[in-house]
Amino acid sequence: MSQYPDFAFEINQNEYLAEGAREVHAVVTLTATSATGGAAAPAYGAPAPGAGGEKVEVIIIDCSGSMDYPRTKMMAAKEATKVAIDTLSDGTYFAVVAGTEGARVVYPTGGHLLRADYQSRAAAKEAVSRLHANGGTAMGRWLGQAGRIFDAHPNAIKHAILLTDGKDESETPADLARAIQASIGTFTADCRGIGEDWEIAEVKKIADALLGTVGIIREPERLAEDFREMTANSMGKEVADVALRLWTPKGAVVRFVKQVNPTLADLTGKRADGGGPLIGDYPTGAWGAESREYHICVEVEPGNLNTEKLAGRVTLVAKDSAGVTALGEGKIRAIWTNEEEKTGRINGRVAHYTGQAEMAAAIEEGAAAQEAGDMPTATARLGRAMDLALESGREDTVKMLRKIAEVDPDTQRVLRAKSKSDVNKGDVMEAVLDSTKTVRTNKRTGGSGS
Amino acid sequence: MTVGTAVGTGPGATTAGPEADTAMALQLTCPKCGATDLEADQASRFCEQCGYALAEAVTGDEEPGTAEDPKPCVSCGGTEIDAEGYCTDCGDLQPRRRDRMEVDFKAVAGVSDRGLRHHRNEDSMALGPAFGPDGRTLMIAVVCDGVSTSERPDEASAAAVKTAAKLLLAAIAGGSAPDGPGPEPTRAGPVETAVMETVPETVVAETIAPETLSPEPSTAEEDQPRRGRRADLRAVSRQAVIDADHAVSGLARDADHGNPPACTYVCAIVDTDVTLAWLGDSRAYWLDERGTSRALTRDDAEEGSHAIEAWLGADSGGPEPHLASFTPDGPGVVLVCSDGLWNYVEKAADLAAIALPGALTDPFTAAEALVRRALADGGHDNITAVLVPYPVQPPAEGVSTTGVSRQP
Ligand SMILES: [Zn+2]
Ligand SMILES: [Zn+2]
Repeated sequence: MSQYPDFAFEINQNEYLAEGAREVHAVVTLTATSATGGAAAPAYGAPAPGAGGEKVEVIIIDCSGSMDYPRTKMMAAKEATKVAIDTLSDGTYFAVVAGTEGARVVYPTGGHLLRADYQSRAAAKEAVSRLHANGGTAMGRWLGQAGRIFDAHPNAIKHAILLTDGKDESETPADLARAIQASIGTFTADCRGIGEDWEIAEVKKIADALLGTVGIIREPERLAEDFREMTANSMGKEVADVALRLWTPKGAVVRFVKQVNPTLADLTGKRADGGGPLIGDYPTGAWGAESREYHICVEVEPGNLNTEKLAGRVTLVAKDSAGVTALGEGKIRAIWTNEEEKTGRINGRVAHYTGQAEMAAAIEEGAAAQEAGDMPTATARLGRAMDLALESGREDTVKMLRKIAEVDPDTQRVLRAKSKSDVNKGDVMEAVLDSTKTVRTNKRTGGSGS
Repeated sequence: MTVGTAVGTGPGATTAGPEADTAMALQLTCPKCGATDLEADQASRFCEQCGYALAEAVTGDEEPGTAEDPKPCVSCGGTEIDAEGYCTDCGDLQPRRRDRMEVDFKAVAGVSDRGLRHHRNEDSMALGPAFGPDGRTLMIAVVCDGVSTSERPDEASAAAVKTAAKLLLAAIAGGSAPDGPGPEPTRAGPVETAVMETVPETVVAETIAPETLSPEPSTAEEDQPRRGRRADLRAVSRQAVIDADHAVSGLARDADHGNPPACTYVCAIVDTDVTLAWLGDSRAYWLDERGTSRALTRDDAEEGSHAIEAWLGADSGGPEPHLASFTPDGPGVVLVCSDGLWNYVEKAADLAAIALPGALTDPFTAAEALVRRALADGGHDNITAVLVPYPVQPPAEGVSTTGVSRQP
């Protein structure tokens, strides 16, 4: 079986709780080091790492009629797809799908996948050159087609890139939901929207379910670099299906399990049975050499003073044809004490990510209120977001918020949200999407290891 | 065979004194199985009943000698407890051996208790007889108190006492100072002088008179071998602190966030003289019934403050321990303890009033009484008390034979 990356496991929390307190918070930091000793992103033409780590990449390009308005969108999509093909590691199986109201496999045409090499890359790029925009948008069918392609390689590390420029208007929302549901656990997907005529909420549903990211491409010439990055990132993956396995004591409630770095992603609803009623598995997708952080909140029955309870045991597990392999483990503890000096400590990481998540939620809610014309709510939420952005030193976010809200030039605080007619839709979309990217903190004030 | 300080238990061996000669070996209770007919000397260092190696000091944290039936969870009655002591049902941490450690060798005994306000016991102790190559039996007592603001202080103190005791037993068995620094550490003199001259005002009355603490006593009985032994034991004491510091430093991890495991240290080696080494605010006392009870150590802490200025651990900066030795002028008991005890009973005379006269013949019961007093007064901290009767002696006839290192 393939080698797994080495995982370093760190838990940051303040395990000391005041008498009667129920909520236990912890930030889990997972850092994987490549099992093959390779870098996270292999250079062009490098062989796929890990002898057993077969990979399949499917690139889905929106070829609806609107991709020609402006024409630069279709041109950029073709260019970016070619760059992605060139970024594939040698030996990677790959396919290109043209998405319209249907989903046509434009490469390969012979029915079975070919490995990336000089010839297959050239043939694929030739096919991409002949793509043209004509038709509707049915992302559910695109996902279905990708699923059929992946089916022939059940044990591979499977990833899709999906590019769209519009709304999913050639099928019903139920069709899309069914297609998403069928894809969960089969492959992961990163999604990009080009232009401003697509719906964040719609595309986010796909990306969230398939453990990927959503990004907006406002300038078509930046698409190629984005595709190159996504492909390189995918090529660096060494293990396909990794889950956070969380044991919690009887009577406990898992309030949430969120990925908080590098991007925010709520995994709470993705809980799957991990072997018994007290154990749940939260999928984290594929891993290469990378580091991510997760914020876990468990509510437990308070214990007596000066007693300790295990509030959670976190195990990182890889699931593949070889079965389930534990890659690391850590404890979330709870100790009840009257010592205020201990209970009063705020764990720097927990506080930081609590703030980042609140900021992202405030921007999303503020943008929705702005769209709906609810100006008092929009002002309040964007104001809160600005406070948090300033607090955590997120200068880019501050700049983005200034485009969608009027700001006091001296204090930088939000005076009022701009009205919908006064803002550029792309600016709002960018602010919303950017807020789900988080920065790391080294603050561990009063924090305590596992 | 000449046994320097041990007092025989056979008929006629009734002379008790620092230099009493006797051919009888010291009688001890086996710390593992409780066997009382244990004759421990240089030649037989293993319990004949269970094979326990007496070359190890006992901490009270040992695995039980026999497999215990798994006990149900104290909170929910669940029957599955994981390897770390958590109930796999309700998650509650089960009572640990460390919560209450009891060691009773009869000739030396100690009790370490979690107290009432801490969720775990961060103190550790190691005690037991040490056998010299000439057949002498000495007693060692080490107490370390984990610094509660450091990471994993319980592991720090446990590593420190075990490492120090191991070095002490080996070095004493070898009959000389261990390799490394010379027999008389260069800084031992000045440190000792500092101890004598800068005792805090409040404990002056209880402090050892300079002549008894002098590095070179000139009493008539003083002989050359004894002076040499004393120098050796100081060197050994110092090396034990250095070893313990290395052991605790080795526990540090990247994830310690600048607070690597740390602990205090105090050790007494009771021979014809008492040799002391310490760092931090764990203490040793001399207790007797002649009105000369006194503190033997001086805290490394600002007066009236709990912030200690010296400790063992990765951020200790290679501490130089305080060293001292003194010769008691009659029977008494050496108390080695953590601040969880002396925070409640600080004056030597008050400690003596609780411990004596019982401690002379049954140090375990006296150690229990001291700990009980600290618990009754609030038990705010972990409490550890180790008592070594002087002169080194076996238990009196008729004392019940409690197995040591037991779990209440
Ligand atoms: Zn035995
Ligand atoms: Zn239980």
